[in-house]
Amino acid sequence: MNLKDQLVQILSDLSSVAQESSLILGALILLVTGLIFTNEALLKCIFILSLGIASYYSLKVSSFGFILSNSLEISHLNSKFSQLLIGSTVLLVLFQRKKQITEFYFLILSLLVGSLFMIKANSLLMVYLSVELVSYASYILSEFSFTKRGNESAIKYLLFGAVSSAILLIGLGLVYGSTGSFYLSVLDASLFNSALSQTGLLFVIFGIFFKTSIFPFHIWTPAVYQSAPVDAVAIFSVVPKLSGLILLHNFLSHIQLSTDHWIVEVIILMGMMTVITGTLGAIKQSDTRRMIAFGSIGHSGFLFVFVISNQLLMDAFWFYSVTYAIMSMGAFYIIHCFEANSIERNSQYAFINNQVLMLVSFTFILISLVGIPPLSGFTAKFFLFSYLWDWYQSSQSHLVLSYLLISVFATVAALFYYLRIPYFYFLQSNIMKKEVKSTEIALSAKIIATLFGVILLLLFFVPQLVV
Amino acid sequence: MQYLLSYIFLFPLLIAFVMLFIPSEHRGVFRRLALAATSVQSLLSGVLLYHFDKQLKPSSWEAAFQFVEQSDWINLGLGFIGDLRIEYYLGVDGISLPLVALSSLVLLIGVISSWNIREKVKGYFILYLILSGSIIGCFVALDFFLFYLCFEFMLLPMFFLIGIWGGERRSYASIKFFLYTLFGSLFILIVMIGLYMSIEKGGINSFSITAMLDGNYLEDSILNPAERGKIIGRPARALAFIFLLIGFGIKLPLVPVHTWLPDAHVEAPTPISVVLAGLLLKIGAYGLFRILYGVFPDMAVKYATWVASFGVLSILYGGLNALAQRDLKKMVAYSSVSHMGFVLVGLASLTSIGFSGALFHMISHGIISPALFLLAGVIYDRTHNRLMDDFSGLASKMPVYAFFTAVFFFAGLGLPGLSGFVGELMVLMGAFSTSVFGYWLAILAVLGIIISAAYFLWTIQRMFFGHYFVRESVRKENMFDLTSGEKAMFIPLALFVLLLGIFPNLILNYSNETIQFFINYISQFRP
Repeated sequence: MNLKDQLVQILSDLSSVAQESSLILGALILLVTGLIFTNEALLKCIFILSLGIASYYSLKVSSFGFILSNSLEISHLNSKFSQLLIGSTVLLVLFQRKKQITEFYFLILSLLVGSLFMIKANSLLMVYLSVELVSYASYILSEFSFTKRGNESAIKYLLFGAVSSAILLIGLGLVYGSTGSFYLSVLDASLFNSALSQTGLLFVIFGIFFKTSIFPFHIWTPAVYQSAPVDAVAIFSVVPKLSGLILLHNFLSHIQLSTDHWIVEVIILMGMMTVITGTLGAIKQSDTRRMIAFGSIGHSGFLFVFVISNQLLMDAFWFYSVTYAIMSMGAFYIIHCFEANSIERNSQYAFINNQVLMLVSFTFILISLVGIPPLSGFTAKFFLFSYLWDWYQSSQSHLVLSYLLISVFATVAALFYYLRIPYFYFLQSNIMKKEVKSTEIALSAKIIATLFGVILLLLFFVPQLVV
Repeated sequence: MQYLLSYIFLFPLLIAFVMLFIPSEHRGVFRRLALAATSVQSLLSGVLLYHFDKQLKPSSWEAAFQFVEQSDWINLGLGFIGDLRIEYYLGVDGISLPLVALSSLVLLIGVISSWNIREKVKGYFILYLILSGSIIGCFVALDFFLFYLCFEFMLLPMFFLIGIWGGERRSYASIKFFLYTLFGSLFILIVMIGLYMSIEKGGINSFSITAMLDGNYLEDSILNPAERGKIIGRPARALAFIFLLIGFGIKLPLVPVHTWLPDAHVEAPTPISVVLAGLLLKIGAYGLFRILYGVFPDMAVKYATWVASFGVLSILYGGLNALAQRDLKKMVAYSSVSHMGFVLVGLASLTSIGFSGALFHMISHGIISPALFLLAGVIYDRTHNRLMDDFSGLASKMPVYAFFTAVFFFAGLGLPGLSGFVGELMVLMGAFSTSVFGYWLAILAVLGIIISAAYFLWTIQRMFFGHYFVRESVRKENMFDLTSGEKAMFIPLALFVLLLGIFPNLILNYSNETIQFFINYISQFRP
């Protein structure tokens, strides 16, 4: 293909990256407008508008295949997930923000652009660039609380991130150097028979683990979740995590290693360790945010199951992700309301003052995080267990069976720690050690919180809505 | 008539939903609505009993159920486990019908005894009605997924009912109850997924319990008896049987996984203890009947001795524990453990008299144990004390109370003429006549009756006979006899105990044909 044809091709492909383009455009307009006006409503409008345009394009995707000289791949999976990522980001407008409005929304938009490129990346360079774009945005966002604690966790996050991005880069280099191929779509298992290429692959995978907080690259998670601004945390728990998982899936599904390959066994082991650390870590927490952070590590371990297998499990993975996104955004939204009304988030000192509706919705979300019917978290867990069972039957791998058993036990433990919150709010309300002044939570916030619960309930009874 | 089961199942849930929109200031409305809901439920169960065809001789499990309702609920193409197909599938047979009737009776009694709940009335009755809907749902569901949904759905209301309205150590007891039961139900969930992948109905995977009972296994599926599928070198069906035994055994409760029960029973408010003892334990037993024995008859034959041993262990250990208790409510709680052991022994015998006995004993215990908890509640309401040593000679001060206590204690220890006797007798006859386990287990089970006589009679002697005496520390200004409201709860229960003791056929007529069919079905798996 000569240069002219290539250019024509690229120009015609540009329509396929309309989502990302509109987000970038929106981010730039937001930045410029923010220099002149500091009106929250106006900036929010621009934010919503660019997301709206992006979601319009994401719903309209009709042609699948490789674009921009093979650097991106549009598939059924990633076009569906880009809708989810954009959708969860839209929920951010529910959160009230008083300071750094321009910078915050700008960074959120760039993070989203990075994630959208990440899930579509087909060339190794694109992988690296998109992961870095997401990382830089997250480093700055995690710093936005401007407290001593926040600084500490942000520095921790930055250092960890820098190391893991170096690992990712080395890994990509090794993969390219030893296989000679620059595109994910041409990788396959036969190219990974030398020690060098296998090490490279493992490094790449570890680099991605950092984004998705998979053991042993999860250590930043509790610190950041505890002290970063809550709206940023809400996004961290959904967007980079899901996009990292899909990137991992893209890698592994092209390579198609069999279940008894040692790399796959290492990955499965890491996933199990993730579930275990998430569970054990959460048990001892008294800070709600830290507990949710460990819980979300555990959920990474569950979601992980769907991406490491060879089969494409579109529907189950999709359902789990949607449910997880709703639960996570909902939980952080309620935490945000409590914190904005200076309700202590340390559950031991919980203060309850006519917040029954909020607490009931919170309980619904937490119970759904555990996975108890009749909430859609149960359906998601049900898919997970059935999937693991099915995988065990087809592979007869004992590792997979242990994964299943560990997930089951983790669910029981999850009940214990997630239930601490309603436990302290409802059952121990008479032994509160100190009372905190709280203002009345706005009715709109109560309605939104209830809606999260109702949606989870609805998705249990009518899962067809999303699948 | 066509949607009768749905009405019984969903009506309380509907009322609970309506209650959500009533402001919590109207406190009296909630209990009246709850009473109305459970009364309607009882009436509808009466209609159900009247229209049930007792003579129906089933040819297959599919044909054994009456009042069947079946429609699609969830239909998803999932790719890996085939299409996920969940049905809204209800029906009753001779085993579940008496339990539905029992549930509506006990739930009604529970509402009456909740009459003096004073705090957070709205929340209490909403949770109570959710609980009652899901209890009925468990008994009528014929889709395993629906059954599991109801089975789990009752945990959350129960957690809050014990945790908010309970006694001093309520938060500990409620979380223990929740964790134990969830632990058990996850075992059930795993087996449920395994069964779903192995069972077909009309060519596709299905959760239908009737298809499981009839053994419509897919070829090459892991739980297909003909395939002898293995998991880590062990036969898959045996593992599934053990998992289910643990899952339902926790709910039953089976020694050694019974320890949640004394705590939960003691800390729960009286009406909730009534529902717990009367119905929740029966759901465990029903699960054993329907799923464990219905779907895995081959394993039931193979492991009969083990199951019966656990039953006997529960009988003896529960009985000895009851003997050692000083708290009246705790004594009753342990006596429940002991009695549910009889149900397990009856099941393990795999004889039609043993099965009938187990079912009858479930019903009879479902009437006696609520009454016993109500009796314990009576003394606790008046004195805020339940320790047996603190009372003596109550018969002279509260004669009516003493009379009812005697009636239900005698029913509990199996006095001929009262319902407890019939169940225990039939179970023991089954245990002696069976060929699947040895005599010695039956003989040990008989010992349980002696122990139960010991703890019941000793309690009567200590608390009711002798000179009237109440320990100094106890509030005694309120020691009056039963009020008319309390009598209204005890009289019908006592009548039922007497009636079932004299005419056991009132229950057995309903269940005979089903159990006969069940036993014939199992007999093809016997060596």
